[in-house]
Amino acid sequence: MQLKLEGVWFGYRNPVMVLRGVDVVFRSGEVTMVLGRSGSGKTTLLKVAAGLLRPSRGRVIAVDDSGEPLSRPKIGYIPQGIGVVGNMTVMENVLLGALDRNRGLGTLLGRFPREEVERAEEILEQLGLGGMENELVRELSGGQRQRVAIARSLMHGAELVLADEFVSQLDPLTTIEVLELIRSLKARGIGFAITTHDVHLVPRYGDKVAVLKDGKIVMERLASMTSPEELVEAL
Amino acid sequence: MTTTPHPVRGQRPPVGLAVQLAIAVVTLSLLIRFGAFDPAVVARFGNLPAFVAGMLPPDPRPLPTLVMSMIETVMIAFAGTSIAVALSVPLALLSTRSLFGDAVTVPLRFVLSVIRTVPSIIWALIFVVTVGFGPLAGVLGTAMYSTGYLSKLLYEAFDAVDREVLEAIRVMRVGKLAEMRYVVLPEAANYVLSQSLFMFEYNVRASAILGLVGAGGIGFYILAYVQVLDYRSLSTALIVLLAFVLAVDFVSSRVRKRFLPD
Ligand SMILES: Nc1ncnc2c1ncn2[C@@H]1O[C@H](COP(=O)(O)OP(=O)(O)OP(=O)(O)O)[C@@H](O)[C@H]1O
Ligand SMILES: [Mg+2]
Repeated sequence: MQLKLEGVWFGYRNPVMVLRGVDVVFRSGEVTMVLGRSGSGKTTLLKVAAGLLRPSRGRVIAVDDSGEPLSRPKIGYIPQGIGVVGNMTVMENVLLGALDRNRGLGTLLGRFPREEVERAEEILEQLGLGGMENELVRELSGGQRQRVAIARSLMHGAELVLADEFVSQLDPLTTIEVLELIRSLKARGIGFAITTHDVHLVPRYGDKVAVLKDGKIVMERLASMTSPEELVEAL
Repeated sequence: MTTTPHPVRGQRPPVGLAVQLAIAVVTLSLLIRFGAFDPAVVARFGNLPAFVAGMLPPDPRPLPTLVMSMIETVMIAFAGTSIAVALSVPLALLSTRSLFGDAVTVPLRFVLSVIRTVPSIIWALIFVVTVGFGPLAGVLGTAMYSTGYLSKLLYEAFDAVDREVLEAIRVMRVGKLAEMRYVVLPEAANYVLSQSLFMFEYNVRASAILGLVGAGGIGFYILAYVQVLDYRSLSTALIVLLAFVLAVDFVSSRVRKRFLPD
């Protein structure tokens, strides 16, 4: 799957435009690092890509591998504050990923089909959260919450996960753990778009980097073809 | 955490001396206008010790009647509050800006604010006219006012639920009902419970006067004792009222402790 932003303009209040003609492509099976200074519009860019904000000009389209447009692309969005529901358990949070395919009274009453629960258990196991199903999410550590958020996206069947400042609040070791996890998920065909202002993460974990500046993507290339120094220059 | 020392500023009152003086002058002139310094009125303050003496000792004879009517007051408050909670949760959800557009929330919020402008006792009076004397009018009156009031408390709490969490779910296109059920309600649940308890405590006190308009409960007797100058029974009624209010507050503080972290 590919998610394409084509000539996207967006402003919260006219006439101030935060995004001024953004062109960028996020692909499944690939980690794209979106780099930009604070206030450059990284969060805004992800929200537009996720469909939470409607571009005032340009368009966002999802296409499958043969180029056919997808009306309901499987996208996960992990906001800066992780966006998990603190007052619910790990299992309940993960099951939220199954809500779109299980609409109706049953799930509103808290009853999910058996196979969904089993699937959720499997995913939690894979992400190293086995045995934590009944823990309240608000009592988890930052790294564990992030895993819950990933688990929810996997449960949803997301082919692309848009993650805002995903590792900015973690300590260095946990950051590496989470990024290693993302690398292993990439091998399963899942793509990530991760915003950051840490240029050093790009070469190690990104396949591609896109630098956002003055409302435009001023640089987009393979992560291996660039260096932290060059990125700092571009910022 | 460390605290940095900072110079302690002089504790200045939030409004200047001129404003304080002006308020004092206005209050004083109002009291004069209402006759507080009229010698004839001042002389009547001398009746106070006699009035208090007349209340003692409390008359135990009406106690069973008063306890029964106070139980009715608590039941009115309970039923009225329960109905209000049941109505307020959906009304507040519909008034939540992060869920619905202005076309829904603005008119609804307006209607709710009109409803809570009218106090319970006036609503009770209206229901006495429509459904007749008795506790049902009290329940409906309490439910009306409380719905207006509680809905506001709840939609403010629902609005305060972290938008990011809602957005993360919304991207998965789960539908509004699921957004309410799995994000807004769980994140605001503690607040809903504590505000409902608060509303109940408030309604127990407020229901004590519903009897004044014939809407049931102990207020009927309080009014009657004042009118027939039976101050000893009046003091019994006030003691019963105090005892029940304290008991209800105690029970609800236990419920809070049990269900709400700090
Ligand atoms: N809800 C909003 N309403 C109005 N303006 C907003 C809103 N959100 C962001 N902005 C403005 O849009 C611009 C871009 O903000 P955005 O949050 O997208 O930046 P960012 O790159 O994510 O910053 P950071 O690295 O600090 O998270 C900023 O100037 C900000 O003030
Ligand atoms: Mg941001």
